[in-house]
Amino acid sequence: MTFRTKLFLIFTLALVVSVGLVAAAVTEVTRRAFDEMNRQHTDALVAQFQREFAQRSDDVVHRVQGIADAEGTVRMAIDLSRPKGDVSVYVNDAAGVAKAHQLDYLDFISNDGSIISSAEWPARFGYKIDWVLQPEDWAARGSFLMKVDTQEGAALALVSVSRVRVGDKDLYIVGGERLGREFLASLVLPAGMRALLYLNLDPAFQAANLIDSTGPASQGEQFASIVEKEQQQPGTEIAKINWTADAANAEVFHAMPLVGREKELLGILLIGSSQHDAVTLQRQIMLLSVGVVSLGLLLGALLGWWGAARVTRPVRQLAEGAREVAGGNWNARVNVRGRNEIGQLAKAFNQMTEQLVDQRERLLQAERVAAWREVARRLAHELKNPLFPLQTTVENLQRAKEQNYGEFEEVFHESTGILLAEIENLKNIVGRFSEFSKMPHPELASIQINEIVRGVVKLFEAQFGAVGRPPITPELHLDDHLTVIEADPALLHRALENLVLNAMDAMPSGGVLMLRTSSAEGGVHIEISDTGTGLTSEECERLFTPYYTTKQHGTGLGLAIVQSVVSDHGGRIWVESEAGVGTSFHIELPKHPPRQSVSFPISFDYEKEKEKEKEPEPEKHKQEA
Amino acid sequence: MLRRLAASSTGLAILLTALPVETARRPRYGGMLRVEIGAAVTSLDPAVATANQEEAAAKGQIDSLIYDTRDADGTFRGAGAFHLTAFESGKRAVLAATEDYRLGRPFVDSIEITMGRGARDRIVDLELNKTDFAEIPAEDARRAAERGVRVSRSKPDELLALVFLGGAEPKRMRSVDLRVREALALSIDRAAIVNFILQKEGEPAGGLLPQWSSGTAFLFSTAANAVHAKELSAQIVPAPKIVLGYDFGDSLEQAVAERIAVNAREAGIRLTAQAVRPAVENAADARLVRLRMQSTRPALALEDFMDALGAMAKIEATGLPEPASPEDIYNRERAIVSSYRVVPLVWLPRVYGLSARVRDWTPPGAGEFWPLADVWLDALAEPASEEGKQ
Amino acid sequence: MRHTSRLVASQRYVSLPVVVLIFSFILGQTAHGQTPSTLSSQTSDQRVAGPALPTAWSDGVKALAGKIAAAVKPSRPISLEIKNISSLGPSDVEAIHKALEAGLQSQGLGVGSGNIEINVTLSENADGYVWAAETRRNARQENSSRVAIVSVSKVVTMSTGGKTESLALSKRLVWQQPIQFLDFLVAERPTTVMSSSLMILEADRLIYYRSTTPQWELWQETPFPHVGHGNRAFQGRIDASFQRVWGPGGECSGNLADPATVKCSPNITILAGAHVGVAIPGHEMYQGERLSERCGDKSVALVSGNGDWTEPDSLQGYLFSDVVHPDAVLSGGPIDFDGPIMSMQGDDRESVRVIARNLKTGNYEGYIVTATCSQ
Repeated sequence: MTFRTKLFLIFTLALVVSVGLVAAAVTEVTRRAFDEMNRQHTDALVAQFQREFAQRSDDVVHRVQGIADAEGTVRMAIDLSRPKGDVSVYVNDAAGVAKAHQLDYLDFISNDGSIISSAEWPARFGYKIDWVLQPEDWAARGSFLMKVDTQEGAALALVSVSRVRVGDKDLYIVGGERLGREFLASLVLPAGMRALLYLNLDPAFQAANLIDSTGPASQGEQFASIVEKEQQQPGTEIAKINWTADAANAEVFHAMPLVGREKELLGILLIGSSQHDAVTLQRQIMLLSVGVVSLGLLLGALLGWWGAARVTRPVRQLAEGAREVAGGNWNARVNVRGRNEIGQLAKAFNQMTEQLVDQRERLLQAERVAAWREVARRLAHELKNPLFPLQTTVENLQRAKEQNYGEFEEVFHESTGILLAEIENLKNIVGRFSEFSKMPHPELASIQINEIVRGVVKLFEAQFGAVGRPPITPELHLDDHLTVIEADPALLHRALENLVLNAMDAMPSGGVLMLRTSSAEGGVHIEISDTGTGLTSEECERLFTPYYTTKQHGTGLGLAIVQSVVSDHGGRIWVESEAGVGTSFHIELPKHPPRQSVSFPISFDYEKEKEKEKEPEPEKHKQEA
Repeated sequence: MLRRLAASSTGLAILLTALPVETARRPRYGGMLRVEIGAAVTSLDPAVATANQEEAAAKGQIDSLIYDTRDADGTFRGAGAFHLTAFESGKRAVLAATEDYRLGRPFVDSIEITMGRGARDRIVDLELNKTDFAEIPAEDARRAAERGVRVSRSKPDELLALVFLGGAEPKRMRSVDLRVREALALSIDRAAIVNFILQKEGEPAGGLLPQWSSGTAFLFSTAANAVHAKELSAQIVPAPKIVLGYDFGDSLEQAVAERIAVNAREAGIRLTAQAVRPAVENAADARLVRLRMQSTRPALALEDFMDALGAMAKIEATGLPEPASPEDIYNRERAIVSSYRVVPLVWLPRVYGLSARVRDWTPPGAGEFWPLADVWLDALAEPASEEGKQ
Repeated sequence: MRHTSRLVASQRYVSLPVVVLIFSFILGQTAHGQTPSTLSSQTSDQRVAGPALPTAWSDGVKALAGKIAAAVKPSRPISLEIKNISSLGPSDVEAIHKALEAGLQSQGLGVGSGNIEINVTLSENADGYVWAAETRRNARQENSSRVAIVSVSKVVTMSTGGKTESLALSKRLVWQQPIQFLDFLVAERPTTVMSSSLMILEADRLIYYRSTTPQWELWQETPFPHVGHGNRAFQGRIDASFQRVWGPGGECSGNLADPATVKCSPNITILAGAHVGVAIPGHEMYQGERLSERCGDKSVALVSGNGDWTEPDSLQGYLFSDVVHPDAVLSGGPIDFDGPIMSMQGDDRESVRVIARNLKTGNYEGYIVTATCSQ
């Protein structure tokens, strides 16, 4: 992931998080505001219900008291207070009185609790109602809720009791109004709200007992849970009912218990508040928020992308410059202006590359000089050996001519032999150097490296078991699935020969010569190991320097040639060695060598170097020599 | 002295009651007797059938005035004490006295019968002196008397009973368990029905004949036994349910049925009172029925009842021996009552409202017709002027 | 000792005062010395010393005893209870009881206290007497009873104190005021504007009240011609049947329901009335009123007590068969008042109007007293 992309993502993430938090906060505030509004509506409706209830209660008390104070009731009480008062005369009175006073329920009850006349259930005369005889100040009691038995079944009523006392006999008047749909219809409800009444007349929940202002409420069974909760623990309960899958069709119900005289639960008032408006508005706000957020995110993303691009461009330029430098283009420069940290970094980068170029040139120069010095030293060392016997032989000849003319023939003959041998040696040395300087460019062909290895081993088979020397055992570990590479088979053959020769030279007492080929990333890997004496670390460092050798004889160009061949093929070579154990040479060759192989530091201009040789730097040569 | 004489002795008292102190007390001829009835008689033609029992009874009353005798099969014949002078179907009939009636000319000159007047209207008309004679429901008698209406009662000769249906009619036959029938019978509080619903008119009925007729009605218990009723109904699982039908428009039957429902509820029986229209098929298990005695003779009355009940319930109309002793009659009654297919409830008298000017009225016995030929109108008791009438 | 100034109730207007005087003198001489109590005691003496049961009754007793014995076999000690719900008098019942015991003993049954209960009820129907014996073997098992019934023809007999029917009296306060009133009348008119009207007859005026609300409100007053003499014992009567009002100094006539039609004129009348017409045991000076309601086949009379105007009074119900044999029998319990009954008026109806003075409050109170017959 690029720096620009990262910066863009971080910027976008920050924007999303902040906008999201704002949107969530707005939604929450909106929801709370609506909840508060609903609560206020519900409280207002509850207060209205309580006022209406209280007004109805007072009205019932007033009407029942009016009946108690009426002439007819007083006459009834007087008549019934007599020892032989005949209650049967009044059995049908309650119906007419109840109708005249607009009461749904009215009972005249005698001193012993027997019903004298009942408006709601005329046939119940004579039956006893014991609760009315309880020692209670009915006048102070006012009205209360009560379950009333009627012919059609039980019902809930707002009831008041009045008493007419004549002598020591009481006549009780129990009158009331039904609490039902008419009462609910009298409530003034704001839009979106409704009131239901559950008549708790049965132990278990009955959907038919739930009514609204028009009659039995639909889908009453949905209220089972809230009603049952109230039945177990009367209190103010709140429940939400989802009528459909759409949350806008939900209703929140506040349940208010209605208790009777003995605090028994007789009814439950359910005030419902439709969530439609709130949910719809919330959705609108949500949609708006989403739109705003989306727009904001889009703008933010665009801005972020542009900003990131602007911010990261100098960094990219720096990175590009670094890549070019790493790729070898030491002349790459970063064109970043500005006085900020990026500009300073670019300036520093440019300075660094310039310094690197200078230092590389100086290093190249130094290495060239070192390499020339080494070549000169080696050449001097190589030439010195044959030159000394030449010199000695010639001096012997001179002496022999001068001193001993008789043995001059013999001395001449011997000395010429020595001179010719040493001249041959010189020719060999010159030839190797010439050969090294004339290392051709590889002529690439598709080859199988295993064949080259086998060819080299076969070439030295006879020498591995030559008479008079300890045997060397070759071990071949060749990967049969090597890829075909492009290389010069002759040069590779030669390089491998030199490595085998070196290995043989490192095992004067015999040993094992192991040749291994394997696949490498994008090419092949060749390993040639011996069980010789091994090399020190210093020797390893200088091993591929031309004319460096650990052998008593040799030009020291063998590994240099190997390195040159490897380098021309775009590969690399390194050595691993452990003193007393052995040495391993590792070569990696690519499948396709580069077109122009960087042969460092083998670019050798003889004429130019010759010109440089003429320039006096006597002090260095003299020191090496 | 006069006051002392007036207040002192028995003999004076006797003489004063024996003498017609007032001339108004002597029967006089003349006047039109105004009669109101509830039924609407559509035709006095014997061949034309009546729509219901009420119309049939009213038609019989009119026939008894315009005919002389009645055969055993119920056919009226001969010229009676009155003859028909005007008839408006369902509305009004006017009868004029027959001058040469063999048993003597009636005292009143004519009888005007207004038909189709409801019970409440008849009572109001009696109060307002707009009519001279009307039959009023027994349960309204007390209230009418309190309002100043002159009320006369017969001996109780109409039985209100609860009958468990199971005969050929109605078509639906449903058998209610004997224990349920007995439990329901035991749960009914007849005293409360008489005292409250009937306002002390009538008497509780335990048997199929009233005490004055059979002399053995006291042997049938009328007391409720709610405890035993509850024990019986508890033996039946599931809890018994009964539909009790009563005549649509009969307020007394409705009140009695509703009261029975309350009594039954206390005994653990779910009883629903349901109004039924005549000739309409219904799902009632039992019905309230009114059975009017057609004879003062207990044996004849009981046989009439068995004939009527046999059509409704599974009552075998076994004839009584001839002559039937009180014991025979009692045993037959006991057999029917013990089956609990018929549950006697109350005996109702027939109650008549009379205006102040009607004299010498005596209530007819069971099966007898109104003795309107014997009544006379007291002129002194008539209202001062027509305008004074309300 | 009775006070002659006490007002006699139920006094009617007599248009032939001379006839009344003559007959009252004659009959007063005739009945002198015969008090109701004496008459009744003579009657009861006759009963005690009466002959054996009539043959029909004896046959009935024998038949019943035979049936009881048949039901009880094998013979065991029995307990015998007799209840009378017929018109038989106590002495007849006693005679029948003794005869039945003798009959059972002759059947080999020991009458005393035994496990077997025999409950005999003397009843009657339209044709005659019906005597029924219920045999219960175990007192607890009320359903396990056998019934034996015999019918016995009726024998004409006189009896006193037959208590087959019983009267229940009830009273209802209608009106009260401190000024004395002589009579009152309530008319229920639910179909008119006023639900009911009330007429009050005072000594010098006739007052109408009406009720459109639960309270009475004054409707109209009609002056009544005043007597002018110092008579302290005023008498008055409102007769709805004859649409007449009689007062101390005059009379009114018209449609009593409409006060506008009522016209009053001076007239000194002597109200002599139709008394109950029976001898009331223990009552020499009485106020009685006969009701049109009958109790069974007996007539009903309500009779007040014997006290004077300083004592609380009561009404008692009596039953009597007919005026030919006017022996009244007390029936039911009395109904008490808080003071003396000043007047009692009846219109041959089922109730009487009673005016009493409340000694505690001093008010004059008008009541409607009703007698209910239960058999």
